[in-house]
Amino acid sequence: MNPFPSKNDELLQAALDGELSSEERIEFEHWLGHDPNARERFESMQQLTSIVEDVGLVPPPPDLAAATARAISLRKTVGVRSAKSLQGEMAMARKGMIGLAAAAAVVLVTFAITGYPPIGKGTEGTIGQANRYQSPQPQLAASDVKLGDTAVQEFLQSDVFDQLMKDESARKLLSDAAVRQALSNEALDRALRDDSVAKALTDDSVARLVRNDAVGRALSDDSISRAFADRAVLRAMGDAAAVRMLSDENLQRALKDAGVARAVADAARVTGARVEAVKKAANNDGAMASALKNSAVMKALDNDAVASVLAHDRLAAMFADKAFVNAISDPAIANALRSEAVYRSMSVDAIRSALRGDAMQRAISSGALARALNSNALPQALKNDVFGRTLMSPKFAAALAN
Amino acid sequence: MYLDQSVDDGAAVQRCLNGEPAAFEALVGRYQQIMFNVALRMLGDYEDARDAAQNTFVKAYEKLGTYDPERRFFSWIYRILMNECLNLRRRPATGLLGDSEDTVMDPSGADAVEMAERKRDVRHAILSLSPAYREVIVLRHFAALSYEQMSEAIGVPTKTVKSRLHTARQQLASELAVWMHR
Repeated sequence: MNPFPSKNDELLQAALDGELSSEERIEFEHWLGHDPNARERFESMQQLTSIVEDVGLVPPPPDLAAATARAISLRKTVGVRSAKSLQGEMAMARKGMIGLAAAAAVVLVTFAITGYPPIGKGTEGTIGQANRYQSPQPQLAASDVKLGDTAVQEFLQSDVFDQLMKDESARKLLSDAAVRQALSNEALDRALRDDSVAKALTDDSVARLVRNDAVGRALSDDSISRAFADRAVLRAMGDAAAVRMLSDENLQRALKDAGVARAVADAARVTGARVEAVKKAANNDGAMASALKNSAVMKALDNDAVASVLAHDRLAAMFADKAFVNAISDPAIANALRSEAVYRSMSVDAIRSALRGDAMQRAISSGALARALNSNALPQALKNDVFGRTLMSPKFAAALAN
Repeated sequence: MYLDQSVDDGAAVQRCLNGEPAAFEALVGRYQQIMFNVALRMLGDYEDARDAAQNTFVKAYEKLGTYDPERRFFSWIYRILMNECLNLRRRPATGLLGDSEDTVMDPSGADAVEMAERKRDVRHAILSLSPAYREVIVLRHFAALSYEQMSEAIGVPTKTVKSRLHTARQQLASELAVWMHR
């Protein structure tokens, strides 16, 4: 069906998009010169184009290319992926699953070695399959085939699982009582029942992760494993980030602090912007992780709008700045940040910087800024760009401090 | 199209396949702005757009061996991006729809406020279009693709591209009527 009411409408659009042939252009210009209505319509279309294109292009995130390079560096050689490998990749539901799969794989193998409690109802076959590795004379019981989740069984029958079982370091790690205890929690049990997770287990990247010493060391720590057992935490990390984080000694040290680990786990249970904040926290060498120990900061993160602001790269880096952390820890300021207008102003680099300034700090500690931010008038005023610029001026901060 | 058409992407792909991974960095550098902006306009969320663009490049790298040099590289990678956008749209939005880029404050007072409001309304109007209509608007106005390039990227006849563009613009004009004729 032709949506154009007339040939002329089609001509108008083609002219607007610079798609006229030379003959059509002559025809179009003649028509426009003799028909005021056509001119008016064409101008209207040009105006719409102008309004739309005024939105403009947004610069890509400054770290996009570098993050892409890092993610690629963790992958296999280009162009030589086997069909099976590509298929396995398709099964990866989305980013973050590798980390979770690693933990889940460890649990599965642990069960296999130790015969530790059943994974859960409906996965009897999983245990049966795993038990073959324990039994001096492996036998396939009837229960082996009563699977609620065939993907888990597929994993247990996969080369990956077989390799894990034969891997001395993996076996040693999993024989450790502390590791087993740490990994035997309900969160992982639930995770194993997740279809996408189970499918992810078939990917050989799991094997690589589990063999990674740093991953092993990290998972053997009780508080770390608790934090990482949380699906939201793992999803928040992303695949490349998961490996990097688990290998990051600073972060491991930070997560060994029960408070931080709990904070990260708590924060990540809330999906959305807060998760993004945690992701940034985790990627920031523990500086933000340390800030997350501050309950006031955590409270501020309860607000999605605040978390969204805090998730910005440049702002995340500022978590290393004590003055900035103090500023956003102030309950009144956190409350003020719930205002959309204030939130928008926080998106401005200069205002973020202003929050760190000495004068602004004095204003914060005196409560003057908080009172101002919490008044109805200020958020309204912030909708005005000129006022926004005023707020970020050092003079304004100094005035508030007085 | 906001891309230098004289650059030979096929050669970069071939160098990459020949074991020169740095060649892919050039492709990322060349396409990151357009991919990110297309994702941003399709998804309306900065972080989602970042994820979509990054995942797209990683997947493109891994599947580079399947790229047909007879096709435009953009058309090939664009299909991957659209799949990523679809995947991301299946999860709850992580940001404030269409507002996560309101970061620039212009000093010129009331006009600037009005301009900011207009831009916000335009972003919302684009997001209110169905994906098929949104796609042509984004490709035409933010990637400056020709009808033929859009046809190849989307995988529909040129006639369909023109038809969708016409309907999409009618809907946008209706949504943005308040900003027209000012």
